[in-house]
Amino acid sequence: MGFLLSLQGAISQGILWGIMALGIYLTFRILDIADMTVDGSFATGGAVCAISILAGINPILSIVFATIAGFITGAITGILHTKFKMPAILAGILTQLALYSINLRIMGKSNIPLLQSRTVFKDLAQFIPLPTVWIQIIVGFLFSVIVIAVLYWFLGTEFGSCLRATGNNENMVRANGVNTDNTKLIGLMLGNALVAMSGALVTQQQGVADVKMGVGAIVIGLASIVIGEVIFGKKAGFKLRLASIVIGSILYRIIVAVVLQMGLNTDDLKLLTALIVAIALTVPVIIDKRKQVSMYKKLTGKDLNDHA
Amino acid sequence: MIMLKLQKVTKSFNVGTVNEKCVLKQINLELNDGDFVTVIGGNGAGKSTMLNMIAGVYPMDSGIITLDGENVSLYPEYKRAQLIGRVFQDPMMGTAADMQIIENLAIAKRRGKKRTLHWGVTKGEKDEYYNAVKELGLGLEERLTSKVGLLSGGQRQALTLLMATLNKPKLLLLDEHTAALDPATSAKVLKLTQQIIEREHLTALMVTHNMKDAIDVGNRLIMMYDGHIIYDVRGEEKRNLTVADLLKKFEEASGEEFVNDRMLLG
Ligand SMILES: Nc1ncnc2c1ncn2[C@@H]1O[C@H](COP(=O)(O)OP(=O)(O)OP(=O)(O)O)[C@@H](O)[C@H]1O
Ligand SMILES: [Mg+2]
Repeated sequence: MGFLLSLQGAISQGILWGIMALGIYLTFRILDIADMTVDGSFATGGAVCAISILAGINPILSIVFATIAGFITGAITGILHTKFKMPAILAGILTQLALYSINLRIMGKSNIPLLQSRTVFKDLAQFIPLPTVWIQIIVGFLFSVIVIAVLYWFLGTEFGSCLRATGNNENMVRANGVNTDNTKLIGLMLGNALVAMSGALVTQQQGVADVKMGVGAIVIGLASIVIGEVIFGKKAGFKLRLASIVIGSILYRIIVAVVLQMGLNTDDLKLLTALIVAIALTVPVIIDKRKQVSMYKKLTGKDLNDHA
Repeated sequence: MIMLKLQKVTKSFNVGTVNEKCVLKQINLELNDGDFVTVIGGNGAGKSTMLNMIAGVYPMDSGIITLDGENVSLYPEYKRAQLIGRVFQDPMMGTAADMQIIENLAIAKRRGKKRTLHWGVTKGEKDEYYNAVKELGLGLEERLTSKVGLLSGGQRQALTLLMATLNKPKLLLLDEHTAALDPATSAKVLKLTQQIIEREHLTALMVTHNMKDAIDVGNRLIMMYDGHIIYDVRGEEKRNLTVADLLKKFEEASGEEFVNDRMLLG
């Protein structure tokens, strides 16, 4: 019974963090930029959301504010990277570091509990006679569907096509008259907007914003992406690929719930996450290598026999 | 009418280091509308650098580049690309491998236009691309939704050529765009190049290491050596050139023997 509850909790967490993973997918997979901003911008989303709610602002509007804050954090990294030609990794790390102080400034302290405050989930619980965790899952599902639909549409537009091509071959995009500084900047802004939106939702879900809530977020996002890719493959249609990221995020949380249930110390969680990503990224390489070697042995052996 | 004008274009690399090298030395060049100019010269003569200066890949040290009356000297690469079509030596460079053929074409079709939030590929475009790709004669028209990464180098070069000319550019820059292809494919892509340039009445600069191609193709030929244009010939005179003439010209101008195997054999 206890496990069923924690499973539901894992699903609701996975869905809400899944939106962050979609943001990371946009920068990491589509733009081909490892954007380190996200550890900071996730907490920025939480921080802006928390103080907005404390100021009496509607919880949904608070999410909107958090998302706008995320746009700005992405813009900072984007400008450092494109206008000032900093390597993307360094630009992201600098912004992430700066955001740690900025997030503390926004919150005024390192931790803001929202236990007595309104949240989207509590508001809805007044109308919908379902356990809170189910309301979280439904809200998360709605947000995911909307975000996936918007991403799908955006990446199919003229500008979105150029954004996808930028991650693929910048040179080609510039040779076709498009400023790749712009496509990268917009991609980083959108990615971090989604990350901050996720930070705001998670804050409302767990009822607390913490300046450290984003630590390791980028690796959790990568874990979600690679789990989704391992299960659905890289060749899936684009809508399914986007959905697979949210599903990957849910599976990640279920894996975490299971190993915690089995007695893993929470302190070891980050190690586990890093291991999941490392394994998910190395296994396909090892499998490919094996296939190639066995193919070689098979074909060469046959060839030699033919000539014998 | 003059389409492209280079005035005293100069470029050095590694300025201020022991490796400082002046690669383009006060280059002057005028191309008339419709000129199809082949460019030859030994390794390191500055051919690619000249094309890169025109395309704005690196900033130039000094000089003025005018394209169709517009001074583009300080325009960034992407802005010049709105006026210039390019095909590179490396077949990987001109296309986005993970995107479909039709998506690549749609990006190229919108060269010089603002990228909006309208659909990246509209229904009506499909027929247009089908016909345009069919004219390449490679059978790619039935594979418009295939990823470009699945195409061979020659197919990718032909596609890049189509992309570079889909929306008529004021200038077409070809930097050894057939050099990475096998002889048969190379001949095919060169033929396509000629056809498209003729049909669209394009102004073009084509770098090649094949002297015979340089003589046979286009209406004008320039030879570069050590950052200078040392020979510029057109019309009747160009048509009557032989490879031997070109080698002699090179020796006269440079005082060296021509020792580039690639150029002799090409
Ligand atoms: N980005 C760069 N940095 C430093 N040096 C460069 C750069 N690009 C070109 N050069 C140098 O400039 C000189 C001219 O190079 P360029 O590529 O223009 O020659 P090319 O005529 O195209 O020769 P090739 O026939 O080999 O392609 C060479 O000495 C080259 O080493
Ligand atoms: Mg060259």
